Amino acid sequence: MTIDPVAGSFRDPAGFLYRRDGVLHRQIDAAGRADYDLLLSSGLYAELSGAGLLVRHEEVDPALAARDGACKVIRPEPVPFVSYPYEWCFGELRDAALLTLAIQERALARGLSLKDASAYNVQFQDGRPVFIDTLSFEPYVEGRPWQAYRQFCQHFLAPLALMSRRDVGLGQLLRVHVDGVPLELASRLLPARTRLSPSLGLHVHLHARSQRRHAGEGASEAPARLERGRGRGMSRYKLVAWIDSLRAAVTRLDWKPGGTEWLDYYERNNNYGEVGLQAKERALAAFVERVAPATVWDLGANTGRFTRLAVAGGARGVAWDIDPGCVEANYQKVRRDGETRVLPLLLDLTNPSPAIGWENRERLSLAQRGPVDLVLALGLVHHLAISNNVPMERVASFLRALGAWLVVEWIPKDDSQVQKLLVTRADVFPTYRQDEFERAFAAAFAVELSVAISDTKRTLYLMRGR
Amino acid sequence: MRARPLAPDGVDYGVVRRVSPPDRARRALEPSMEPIAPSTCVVVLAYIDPGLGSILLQVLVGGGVAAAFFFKNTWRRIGGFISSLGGGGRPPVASRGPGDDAPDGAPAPEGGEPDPRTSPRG
Repeated sequence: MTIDPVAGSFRDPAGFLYRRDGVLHRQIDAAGRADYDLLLSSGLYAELSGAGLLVRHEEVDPALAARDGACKVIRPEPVPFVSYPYEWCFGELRDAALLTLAIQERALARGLSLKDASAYNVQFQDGRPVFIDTLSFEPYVEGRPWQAYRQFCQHFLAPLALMSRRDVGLGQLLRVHVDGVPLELASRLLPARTRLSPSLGLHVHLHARSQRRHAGEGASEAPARLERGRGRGMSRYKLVAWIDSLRAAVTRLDWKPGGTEWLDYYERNNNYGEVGLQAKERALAAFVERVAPATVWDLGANTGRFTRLAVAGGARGVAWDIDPGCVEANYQKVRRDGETRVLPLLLDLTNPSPAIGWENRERLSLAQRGPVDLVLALGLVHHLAISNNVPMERVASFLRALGAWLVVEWIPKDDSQVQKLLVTRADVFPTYRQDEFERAFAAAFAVELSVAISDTKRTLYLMRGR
Repeated sequence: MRARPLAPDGVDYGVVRRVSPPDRARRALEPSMEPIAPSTCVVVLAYIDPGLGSILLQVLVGGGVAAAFFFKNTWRRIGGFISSLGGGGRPPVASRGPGDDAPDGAPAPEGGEPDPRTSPRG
């Protein structure tokens, strides 16, 4: 029997997550018992989990606790893949924000309130956001402002506003600021005109100013300030209005992909005619059938055309891409078509998600969340080997660390996509040849099948990890 | 049985625990099983730091935001009433508050039921 505490679950005294023989459990300690009981007795758990907003769980024997002091032990339904806010596209972060507010509204109506509003409390399950922290609820106390307001603005509203009103790439600030984008920073970065917006003016700019103004107040002044504010209080009606105002702020923000390099790649790409594309799909389908994977990572997935093919047999896939426009378009397709097997996420493979947070263990790196059964690297190797100058052996060993099987596409140097990468630089890649590619990958993989794709100069390989 | 107190716009937001002032004073003096004494409705300790500036902003501006919310809902009701007189269609667009705009590009809800996860109306 092994017990591994989940390294990112330590802040809340109410309880924590751990794996027992690999199965996820949550221990509820004395500090969290009353709140948990209220979540159930109020009917909120049934309402939220019934609507698919909150992860379902089952209560198990408290003897399965990780350590002494357990009042209850629950086994939450595991999410297929844990992703992080800095890997989400704009639409995913916005849907996670709206989910959090919808839960807070329903909680208030039943006499509870969210005590935190971390973006890490949301995960994607079956193509939709779901709240995963069963212990985030506490009784609502009449007159009490929302404790998680600052966290909500830092984790959701500020990054969304920056992505929508300044640059979508600023979502990456969440990778640096693990407790969300500081409002003062967001206020400085946002265009001046957003100060005139009622929602961003209040919840970001004025909020940042209020924080700055009261930041220096010590133990002597703060209680006096609160004492003066006490007369006004924060009635439930005001709180409901406040949450509504936050929702209005979030829904007003928008971002549409347009004119990015990769979005209409398949339409514009002259290396693949319809014949070549169909040949590639046929070869891939045959490879996938042979592997019969349960989990797939498609690296450089674009809008997920080949990811969908790879998960058609029942696997779950993550469609990783570096282009926010592609990930957004892919996510909107997932939502529109109600797809459940594909999760589109943002990733720069030359600098993949690192392990971050306390002890570098709170949020896992890309590789720590693998390996998967099958990795797709279609139209990818030339970007790593040429654009990023990575030696081919190290491309192979990196891909081997991520998955047991690999489908990789070889694209020769005279292909127009490769020529494009070389047009402004010296060709220092004399070994970028198919025989060298096969030799370099042989250390990590054995070639099971290879298919020359008709109508192109490209080759598709199915490789098994050594 | 007394009716539950309703919010100023007449909407029932569920059970509202009201503590009468004498009761409040009594509870403040004696050890209480309440997780937070109601009299200290603003001074509360959370396991994350809510931030003094963030708490005060809500307390100071909350009334204004609530007033805007009240007028928005009232306006929507008037719109709904007028459109129901005129044949029962949906309220005119002009009567919908700015916060009620459906997100652009949001997936069309199936069967007219909005997805509670991401619907702007929760």
